[in-house]
Amino acid sequence: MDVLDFLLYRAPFLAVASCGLVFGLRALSRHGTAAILTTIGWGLLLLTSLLNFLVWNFFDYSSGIQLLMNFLLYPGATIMILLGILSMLTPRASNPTLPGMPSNSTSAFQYQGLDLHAEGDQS
Amino acid sequence: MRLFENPVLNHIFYAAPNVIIATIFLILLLQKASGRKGAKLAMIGCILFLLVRLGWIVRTAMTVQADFEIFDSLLYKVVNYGLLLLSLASYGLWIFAFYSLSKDQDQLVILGLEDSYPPPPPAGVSAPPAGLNEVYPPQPS
Repeated sequence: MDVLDFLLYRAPFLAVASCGLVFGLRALSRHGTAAILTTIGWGLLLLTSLLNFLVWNFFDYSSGIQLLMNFLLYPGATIMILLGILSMLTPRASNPTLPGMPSNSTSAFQYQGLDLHAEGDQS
Repeated sequence: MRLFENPVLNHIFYAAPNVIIATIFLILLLQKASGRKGAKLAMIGCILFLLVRLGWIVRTAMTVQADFEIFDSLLYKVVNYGLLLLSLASYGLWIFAFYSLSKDQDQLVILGLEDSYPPPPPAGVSAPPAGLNEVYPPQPS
């Protein structure tokens, strides 16, 4: 195995995937679903990079494992990573709603004022 | 595993799932962008991701057309390393987009908790707002 090839082509991807995994794990306690999706996505990408490295160096590359990587692991990782980002953009339905706050608004934490003249209170 | 004799077609076949996924998510991100920094970064990441896939297909076509000397040429090396760097940049942008969006969400939560709860009474109204009576019913005296 050429060390230079590994450093140029494999190591950066392993490093980036590890970095994404760390960011996902750090956000796990604060952003439930989005962080889980991102963590799984970067984990899958790390797994794909490792498999790619192992297959390229130690096994026959022209095997069914390439199909598995290209059509299952890698697209799965991309979907999970992008779903994690997308779910951070969409308003969360499972936001913890506090008393006196609207639960079906765009943001559960946005103050929308209280209706002081609600129907039924006018009489 | 070579399904097609033509390496370019083979490359397109293997790159197709990721290209389709990135395109779908780019459209979804464009719809939900809302001008947030994280969303813009994710969109740039998706565009770079697609450009890299396109570049890899072009590189394969270039190697099919040319002879073996192309592997030592400067153009091939520049294209190769350039695409590698762009690919890394697209992943980096996705990480930074997630980080930026998570920071935005944290700030929203902190601001929401500090500023919105308990809701301030409207000016000139001394009694507790009507909505709060449902949550904190007046105690019988």
